[in-house]
Amino acid sequence: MLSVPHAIPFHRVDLRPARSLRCACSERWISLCVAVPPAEDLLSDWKFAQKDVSEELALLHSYSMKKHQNNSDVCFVITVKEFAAPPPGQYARFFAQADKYVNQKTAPLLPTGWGNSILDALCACARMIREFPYEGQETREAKDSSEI
Amino acid sequence: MQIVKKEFKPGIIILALTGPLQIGVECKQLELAFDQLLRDGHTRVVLDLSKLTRLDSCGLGKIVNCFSRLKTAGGALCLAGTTGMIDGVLKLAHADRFLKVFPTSREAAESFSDQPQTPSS
Repeated sequence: MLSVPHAIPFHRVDLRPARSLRCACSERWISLCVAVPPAEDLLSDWKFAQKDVSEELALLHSYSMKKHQNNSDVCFVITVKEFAAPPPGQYARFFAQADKYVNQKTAPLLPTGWGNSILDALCACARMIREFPYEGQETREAKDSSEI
Repeated sequence: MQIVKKEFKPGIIILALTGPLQIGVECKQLELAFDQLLRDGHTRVVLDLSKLTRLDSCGLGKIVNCFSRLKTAGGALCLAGTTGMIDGVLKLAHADRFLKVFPTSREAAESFSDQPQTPSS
């Protein structure tokens, strides 16, 4: 008999058919149903710390990537914010932002990306880093920026 | 995405975008529209985003790219009618610091009337 731990909310438990087992005595196939909560549910209890959407509680994921440009490497640190709920007025829950501006000479832009998964947001931000040239030293403004 | 081109005054063009501006076909459509404008010598452009339903970072990149091209050609680009979601993403990328945003396309186009066109270098 399988028991489901109390910590797992029952309404989110996914009852999916698991593999069949063969009974040694009767040689019959027995189907089993195993309660498998989605992996996300086991790890996302931090979201319950948010009381209101305006608090914009987020889990931070950090990544770094190198941009090869003019025989040198520029290292970008990308922070992906995984919001407990999409911030007011937005549809996406994942926002990525780099730590350095690009295209500084014409239109200084902070590479960003957003989407419904870490991958979507990260890919979009990395694409922007690749698309625009890095044209100067990192500004203090960008370094200190924590706006997402 | 649908792009409607209007000439507000000689030399001032309004491009009204309807639908999503996302990676792929829509970004290419905008790029081609700007190619045509630059070929025709139009360098003062208003992008009317009041009917834009969605903008991804590739779309934002394309807008910034168009801004850079017009600036290099001695012109300018203004945005008009941005909604809450689009304002949010402009702010996120700090693009609101160099892209002028007006409530309506008329106000944006009129802002050009006050400035003489800079010859391209």
